[in-house]
Amino acid sequence: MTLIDELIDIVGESRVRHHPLDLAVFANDAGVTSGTALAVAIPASTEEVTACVRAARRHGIPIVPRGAGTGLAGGAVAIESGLLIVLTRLNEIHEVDEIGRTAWVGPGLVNLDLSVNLADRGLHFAPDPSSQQASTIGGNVATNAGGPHCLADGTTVAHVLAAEFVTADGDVVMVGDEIPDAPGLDLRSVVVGSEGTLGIVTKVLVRLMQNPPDAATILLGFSTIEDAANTVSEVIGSGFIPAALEMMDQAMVIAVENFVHAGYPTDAAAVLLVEVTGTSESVHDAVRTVRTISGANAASLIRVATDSEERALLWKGRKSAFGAVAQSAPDYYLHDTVVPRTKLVEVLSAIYDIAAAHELTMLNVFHAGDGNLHPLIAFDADDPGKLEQVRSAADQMARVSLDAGGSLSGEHGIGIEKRDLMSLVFTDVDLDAQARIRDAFDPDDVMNPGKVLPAGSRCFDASGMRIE
Amino acid sequence: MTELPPAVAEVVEFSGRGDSPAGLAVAKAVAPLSTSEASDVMKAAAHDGVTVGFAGSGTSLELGGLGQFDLGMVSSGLSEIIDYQPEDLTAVVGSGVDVRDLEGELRARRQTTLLPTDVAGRTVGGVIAEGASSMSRLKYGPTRDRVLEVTIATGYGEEVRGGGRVVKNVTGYDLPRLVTGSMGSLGFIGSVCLKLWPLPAVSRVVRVDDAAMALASLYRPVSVLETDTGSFVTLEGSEDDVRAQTMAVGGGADAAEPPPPIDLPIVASIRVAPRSIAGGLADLQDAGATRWIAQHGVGVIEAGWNDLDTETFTELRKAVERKGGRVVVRRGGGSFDAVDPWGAPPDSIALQASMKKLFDPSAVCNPGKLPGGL
Repeated sequence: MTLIDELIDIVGESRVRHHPLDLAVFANDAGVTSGTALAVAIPASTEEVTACVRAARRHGIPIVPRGAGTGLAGGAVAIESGLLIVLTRLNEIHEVDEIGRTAWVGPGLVNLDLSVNLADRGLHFAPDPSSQQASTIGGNVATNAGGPHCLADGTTVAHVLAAEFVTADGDVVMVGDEIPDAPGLDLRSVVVGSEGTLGIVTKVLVRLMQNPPDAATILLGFSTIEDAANTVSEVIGSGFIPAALEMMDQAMVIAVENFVHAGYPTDAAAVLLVEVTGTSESVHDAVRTVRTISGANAASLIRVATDSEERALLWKGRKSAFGAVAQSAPDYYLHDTVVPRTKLVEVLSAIYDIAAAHELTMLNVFHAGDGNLHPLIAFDADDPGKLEQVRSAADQMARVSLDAGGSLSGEHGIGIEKRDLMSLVFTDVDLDAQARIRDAFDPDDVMNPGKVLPAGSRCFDASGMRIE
Repeated sequence: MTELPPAVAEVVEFSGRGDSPAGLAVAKAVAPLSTSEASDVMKAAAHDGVTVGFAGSGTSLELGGLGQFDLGMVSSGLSEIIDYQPEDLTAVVGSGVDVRDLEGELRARRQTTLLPTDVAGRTVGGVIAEGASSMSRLKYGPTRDRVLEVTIATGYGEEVRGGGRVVKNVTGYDLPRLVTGSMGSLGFIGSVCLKLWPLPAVSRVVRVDDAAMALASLYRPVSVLETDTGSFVTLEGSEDDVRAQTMAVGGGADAAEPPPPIDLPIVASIRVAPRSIAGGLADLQDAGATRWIAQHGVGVIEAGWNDLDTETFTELRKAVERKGGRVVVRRGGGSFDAVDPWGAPPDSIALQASMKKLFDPSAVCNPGKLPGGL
């Protein structure tokens, strides 16, 4: 039997795709990489996932797991002659424990759908990537997704307690646990952020957070990026971590304002969006602190929104940023690096220079509180040579971030896009250890091969001798 | 054994438990002065099949069983604060740094690691190897979420770094979190970068009548404890905020003293899903615990006995395991030496074994300390 026939037996004909036109639908993610699978299977249960994995193994076919395909680094992009397993049908909320504040959910559940579903119980799932209206919890697990509200609450790894997981052999294993400090190695922590290279998550136990009793969103305008950056550092140094602390540069503010009319000051060089949440007393105190600090840093605008409608409008501006860019050019390259917060101004200035040197249109909207930069380069991929130019600029931007003591990715992952830059971050001995983590799960290299780690990362053989 | 590197070849005496260095049951121990030296020792040990037991100050040696090792490796030579960046809220420190000393430095800048400081002498490396968290984890999350970067000397004798010195990072697999709580099974921790947190203006412990009700009604309290001497919540924030929260929870105007750590001959840690905390406490009553501190919303109950027979302990373990929980022996001795320190092995034991083998192919790295004798 061919693999296709076996897959049809497992999930039914309507949930197997193998004609070129059907495959094209799954060829891209939200970034700039693409690839065509041999076939796509859309299982609807753990058992079906297991059977698909075993079938692929029997045929010697590599496997790429995929959620909604909103990734930006190519982690869920098909590899030629591989099987793409799409998990969007595993989208159930299996069980909610209101007392323990946890829920078991399927990996195909859309991030925002979980929080919307839990709203009347006063709970939410904290990671809120900009893609949250489309991206799935499984995809969030794969990339250890972040979002504005990860500043105080941490990225996805802090909100995933356990996962049911199908190994490369098609076995079902639990990583993590319902209990805290489960004895043994915490394999959950490497499964989160593994970009589908260790196996397939089929059920996730997520931690839920209480909705805050009170909140305020503060819009601040500054005439220099330095003043905005100093405000960020001083707010965080003042004794509380805001729920979110986002920055936009003028180019982005103009694009967003044209698009959403959120009332952002288009004459400001930089805009900060600060959110403080908690009891009404703590919100009151925090607003006062932010006012004082931003005032001392020459803020040209301080607007405090406390009613939910006005807060939502301010956030709409932030969350529509990537859509707003479509006005400038048909394509964009969204970068993701992290630098120590104190290096924000220095690295941003170098990034502006790089964009200027390549004559590229660049806009910035990013998680300033985390030092997580997102230079966004707007371009037209139909311009000959343009994508190469964009990539070359992106590569330089990664290097200046690393030179400042930063990292290659804060929340989008490595995928294919940044794989070959990994050797800028890690020595070959470090990468060998990374490859060992992968080998422990997938010694035959069938799960999403060619992603995350550059080829030849294992540099020692089993006896510890260096492979030349 | 192959010659040790000269700088670490001396035996260190240490003020831990017993006569041997850091309380390890070994005749000889080394105190490397860098992760690179530690990896040289591990390379020689792996080559010759010499088992190496790791220790910080030896305050938690019984966790996972005392073990039998050919050589000890202690972190006393790695007690430097390497790079503290208060503006970035990060600190890189050697694994041998005393947590209380570090907290002293940081508190001068009104910052904290949030690592547990309840036991004197505990080292950063020890706390991370154990994965021990402070009582503030209900609000701030476990110690695992504090470890941004780690440098280890692996069982195959290489110095390996994972993570990075930034507060948010998905560059490769999360080695820092994997190493946290790994009980030295993958390597000897040389240094770590910790994510710091600003200290709040006010932190107050308040006595309450009902811990479960306090947990349900408060917004993100720091801790909610039910103990043998009553229930307590820890509240943080500004003066106004803490006052309002105290009133909301019906707490008295006077600050209470938090319960002291449990220091009894037998100590165990009961770990259940947070919703099962009452069931765990009931099991503990049946087992006649002398003292207990239950963390509501977290699911950890530390319990102590003046005297406990292993049969009663086994009954307790069975009852807790039926709820999907675990009972871990932290301090026993005597007849407890024959008791499995961890209880039922985890579902992922086969994957754990293959991970252990890849990081420690010669099984010389703190062997036997993980569940399943890994």
